[in-house]
Amino acid sequence: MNYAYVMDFSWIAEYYPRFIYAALLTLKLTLITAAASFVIGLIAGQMRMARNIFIRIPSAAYIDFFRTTPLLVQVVFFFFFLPLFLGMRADAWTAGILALSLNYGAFFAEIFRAGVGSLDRGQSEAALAIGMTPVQSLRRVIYPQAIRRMVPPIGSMFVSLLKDSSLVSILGVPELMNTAQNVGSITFRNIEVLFFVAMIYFVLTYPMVLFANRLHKRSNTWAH
Amino acid sequence: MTSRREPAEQAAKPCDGSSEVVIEIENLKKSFGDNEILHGVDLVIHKGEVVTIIGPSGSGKSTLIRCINLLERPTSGTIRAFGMDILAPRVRLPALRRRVGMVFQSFNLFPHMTVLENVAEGPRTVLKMKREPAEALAMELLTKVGVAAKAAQRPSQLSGGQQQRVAIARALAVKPDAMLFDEPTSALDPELRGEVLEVMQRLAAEGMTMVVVTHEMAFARKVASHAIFIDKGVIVEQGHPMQMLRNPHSSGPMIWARVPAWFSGPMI
Repeated sequence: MNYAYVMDFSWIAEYYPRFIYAALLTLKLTLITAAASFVIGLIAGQMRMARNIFIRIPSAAYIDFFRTTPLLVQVVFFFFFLPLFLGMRADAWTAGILALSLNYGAFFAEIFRAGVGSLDRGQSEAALAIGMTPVQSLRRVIYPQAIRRMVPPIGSMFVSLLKDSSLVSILGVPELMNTAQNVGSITFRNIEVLFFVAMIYFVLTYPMVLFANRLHKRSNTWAH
Repeated sequence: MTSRREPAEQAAKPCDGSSEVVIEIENLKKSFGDNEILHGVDLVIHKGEVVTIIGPSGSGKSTLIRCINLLERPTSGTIRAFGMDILAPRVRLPALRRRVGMVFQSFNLFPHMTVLENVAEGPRTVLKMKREPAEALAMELLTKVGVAAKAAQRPSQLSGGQQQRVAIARALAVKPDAMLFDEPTSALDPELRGEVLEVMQRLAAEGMTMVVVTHEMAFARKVASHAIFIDKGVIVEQGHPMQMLRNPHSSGPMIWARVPAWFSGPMI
């Protein structure tokens, strides 16, 4: 070997505050997007199951469109779409949240639909038969069971959402990935910086994986 | 066997006719796609009557009672329940279904709730009762059906017979005026049927109006005040169960040939 790369992490001492800030920003982005996409998913998934085609078709179109186009394309698209068509100021943060939420909302809608669809029809019939309204039957009988069945896929979706939040870096939102690229270009220690950032992502996501696994086990206790 | 009554005459006088009519079905038809399941059924159910609906699989028995609480919407015909036309537009289905309880073949208990919560759910959500009185009522009904000891358990921890008795308690908890039973013992092992039939028999003795789709001929003979025989979507025979079984009017050999098999059910 005539050339050996020597790893150097000494830059951390100077730049670590930026990574703390970036990690918090990534978490904030993930939390906001997770909440928004979950709600979008519930609504779109419920609409997707409607009998009325004027409700069902638009929601199906939304779900299919966002599921079949790249998230990166959507992120950049919204960055230009907002100012040009909605007259808003070009805002990387808003565009990023919007694209991520709509994209993950489409996936949540499908997960939610599968969760409801996997329930026995007798469950909603039993709820209706004791005099519940359709809304009461969803709230008291269908959703609690469907959401429990959605826990494993939702858990892995939240993990992948946190990872996909790195795509927003392309708009200049100073989250982890964007910060890594900046610090890398300043210090020329790209490999080390990326490795360091990967470790931060791991530290953030791994507890989520463990937590989802635990919820999954607990949710199985009454299943037959 | 030589005198065959006209079907119309049978339908007109289903029983003594003295007591109040609870449910009145006229020329009920139901199709799924091109497949017509019920070809015009007429049926009158009086207060306190126990009507059993019997007939071969696929004859439309279940479809008929599922039309009564509108889990299935009939294609045509009229159904009057408690004096109102339930097929009219703007009928409040939850209010109707609250008055007509239903017990399913597959129990359909809510697996995410305890036994007690299953029974208290109707009083709380539908009758808007507070938790305490709702659970007291639920406990009272669980005692009545003999599963009070299992109140804190999940439905999946109970035997089929216990689950079905909980389902009966759950249906009773919203204080219905009539009860529909859709093959309540068909999913049960033979040794568990007796406990469910016994609860149903007690309910009948208390004067509950009941419509029971069943293969339990012993129950039909002992408890029912009226029996309906359905085949291929039409009522081919009706009357008092004992009379009907001993002396069928429409003496189609096809119908009669099926009956002996039903006598093998457990006596209650």
